[in-house]
Amino acid sequence: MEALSLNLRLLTLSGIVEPTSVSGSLWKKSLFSMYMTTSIIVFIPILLGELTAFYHFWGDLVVITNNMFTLVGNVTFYGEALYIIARKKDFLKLVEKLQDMIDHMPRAGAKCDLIAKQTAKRSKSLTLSMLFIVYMVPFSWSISPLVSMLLAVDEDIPEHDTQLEDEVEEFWKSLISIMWLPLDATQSPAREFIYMGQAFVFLITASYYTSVNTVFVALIVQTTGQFEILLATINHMDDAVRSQDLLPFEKTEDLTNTVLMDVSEGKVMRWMHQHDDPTDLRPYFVAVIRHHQMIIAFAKQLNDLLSPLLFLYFFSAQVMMCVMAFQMVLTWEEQNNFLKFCFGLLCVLVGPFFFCSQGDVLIQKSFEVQQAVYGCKWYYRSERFKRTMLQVITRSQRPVSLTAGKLYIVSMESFAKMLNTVYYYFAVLKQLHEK
Amino acid sequence: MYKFRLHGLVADMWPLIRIMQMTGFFLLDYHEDMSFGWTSIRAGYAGSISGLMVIQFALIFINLMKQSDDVNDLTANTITVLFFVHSLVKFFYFALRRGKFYRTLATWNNANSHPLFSENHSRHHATAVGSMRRLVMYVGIGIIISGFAWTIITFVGDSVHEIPDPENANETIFEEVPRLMLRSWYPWNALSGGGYVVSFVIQILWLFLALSHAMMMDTMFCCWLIYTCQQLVHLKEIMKPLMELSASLDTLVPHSAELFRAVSATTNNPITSGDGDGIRAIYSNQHDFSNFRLNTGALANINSGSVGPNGLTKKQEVLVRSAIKYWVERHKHVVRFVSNIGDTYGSALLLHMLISTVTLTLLAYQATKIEAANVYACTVIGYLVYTLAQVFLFCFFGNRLIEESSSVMEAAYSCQWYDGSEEAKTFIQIVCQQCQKAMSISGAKFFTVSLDLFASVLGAVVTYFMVLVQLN
Repeated sequence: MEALSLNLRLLTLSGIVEPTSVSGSLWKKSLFSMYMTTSIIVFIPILLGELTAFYHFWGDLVVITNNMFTLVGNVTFYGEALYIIARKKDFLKLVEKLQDMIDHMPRAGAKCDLIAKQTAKRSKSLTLSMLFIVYMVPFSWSISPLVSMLLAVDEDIPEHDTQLEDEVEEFWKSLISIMWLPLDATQSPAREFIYMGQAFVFLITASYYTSVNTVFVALIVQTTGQFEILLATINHMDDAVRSQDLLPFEKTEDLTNTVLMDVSEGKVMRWMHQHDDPTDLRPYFVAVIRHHQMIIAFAKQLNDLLSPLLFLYFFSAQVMMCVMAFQMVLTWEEQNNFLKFCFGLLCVLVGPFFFCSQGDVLIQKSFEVQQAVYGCKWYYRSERFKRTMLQVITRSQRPVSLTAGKLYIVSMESFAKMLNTVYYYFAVLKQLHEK
Repeated sequence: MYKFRLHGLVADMWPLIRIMQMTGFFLLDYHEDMSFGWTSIRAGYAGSISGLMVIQFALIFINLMKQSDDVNDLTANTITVLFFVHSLVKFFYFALRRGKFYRTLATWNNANSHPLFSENHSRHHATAVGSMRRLVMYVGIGIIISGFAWTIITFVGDSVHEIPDPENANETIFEEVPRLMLRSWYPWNALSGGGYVVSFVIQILWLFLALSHAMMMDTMFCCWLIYTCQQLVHLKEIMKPLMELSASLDTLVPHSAELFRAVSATTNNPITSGDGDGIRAIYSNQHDFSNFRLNTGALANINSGSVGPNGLTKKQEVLVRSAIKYWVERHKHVVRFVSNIGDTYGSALLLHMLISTVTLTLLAYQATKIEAANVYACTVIGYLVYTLAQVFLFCFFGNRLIEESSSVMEAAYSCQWYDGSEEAKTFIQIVCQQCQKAMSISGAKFFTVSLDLFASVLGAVVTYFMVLVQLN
């Protein structure tokens, strides 16, 4: 399915959805599912280490907040991947339905192909920018211990007051995320193994994050594109239904009426006296209505799949944003760590932002159907057409929107509310820290 | 040869456009002589004014940086800087989005018209133009009064500020500052003599220009909204004559006795259902029928049949259709205009609200330090009133737009639609459905411009002020 090809390829790379080449043979399938199981197997000890660190370092706000970022992030995105695997059938049905809709949409005019191309370009650019921003995180977080190792070769290690800080300092010099293990993690060879494990988990988490989120953003963008095609079709209706009614203006008509008409349109005289519609108006309009119904049904199906995922995602994104902002403010001077947290914050911001902005665009486009239908020359048509048109207007006054659980509607307003909440909890954290 | 024709919205808003051109906006169109020489002179004029604005603003900002040690000075200077950031932002916003402004101003160049409704339209058009000119006059007077008040208050009281005594670190002494309207840094000595006069002249020019830059753009926005509201009032008023025009013959109540007598006399005939032909057959004998014809001559041989299914003569039906077409096209034109306005000015409103929020927060803080009715109190209250008035201006007109557009549906329902033909009734139905949602201007989708916004801003300022007073 060429509209979503990039996203589906990402999904296969992350090991969530099987590529089509694999569905034939059994051993290829099992090899593929081994890929997934390996990543889970590596994840489990790291998760346990982070959880125990949570317990071990309780009370030290700085370390806890740092730990929360990686912990919540890993859990959420592994959760997302597992959710998609569990509902793989629904997901594949959704992709099929999109393909179906694209195949059966009314293609009125060259504008539709242009819109389809623009939609594909937009979803591709969104995917690529998200990829770039998100992959900076595992990159920068993995590089930073190596960099600090290089820099710390000749300087002395300053003394610290508490033993806890000492442990943490050591950790930061060599490892990526904070864990507490029964063995001393700062000595090799344990250090190298743990470092590799953590780097692997980070990379896998980032790929789960990008692949799952971008495929849904791409689906939303495709729905918006379908709405745009619908709008172009409706706007084209008057021209497309050109029929035998357009006879030239006959001078033998009673001219006492002409002073009251739009004399710019000579053809209007004939139209004004019609009570029936052109013959191809009704099938055209029915095709438009069917397309509208299909888009609404598709959006509903997408919402059913996406809503629980988004709910979990928005919730954990707010936690991570808050924690990252706090860390950023704390490490304002240290260049190394500050950059890490900067990328982390950016990465967590970009996901909800893309969802909310595309959801907002979808809502706006669904409202525009009303204007487009009203904008056709309905006053020339029959009562039957006008009554049908009224139904369409009534339905399009309700927006087609996505929800996250029952709490949020995916729009820019929710995004602003989320930022407000993040700022509020960030202020609370700062107060706690200053005590 | 390019013939410059003053028509459409530009003609209605001509005094405002001229004022904007004189105060240096990059409004380089709408002149008779569009030759390259004159255009470059005008562009040069606008460019030099923009240079003056930026340079003086930069000098004020430098002064802010220099005096950033003392908290009171810092707050006062920040408020001044934020206050005048509006002017710069609006000026450059206009320069960057000229195309959209021109497009919005050109929206009404090709309006449709209908001979039946032209008198009503010209009446409302004249009202709109009168309101716009009055608004521009009031805003202009407000700017002049504010400018003069600012200048006069500079000469009241001592022009000094506190700095820590260089000898004794715990004491503060008063150092003299130039008696100018704005605290600004100049590379020459501005305390007395020639430097003072030059600085004073620059500042008074700059003050009036800055105040007008900020307010003229908002005034243009409000003028657009005034025009839209008058168009909506016009549309509402012509609904009733349109209905009367399409009053169908069905509503002519026949003598019921005659009706039943006619039916009983022909009991062997098939029962006539309520379709057009049956009732026509009953009515065609009534002589009241002919009163509804628009001309007493023979009917035109336009189509077969002299009477359409809606119960009107052909001519009447055609007339009603043309009136409906005029109404619908005019409504669509108004909707297009409102979306152009929102497109053009929405982001400017967003920026205005963001800056005003910060300004009002700082002003609330300053207001807690007022002890007596002195110069300080006057300046703080003056700033507060001016900032709130700026926000009130566009919120008021945004609210009017919302109210007018939501009352279109009521006007459609309250006319005598039951007397109209089927076609007119369907038209009313579609209008009611379409106009359920009011048209509003949104600040780049973040908020809606209405009096609710003003109330929330005012409430936030008062709350903040109360909290700060408690904390002190």
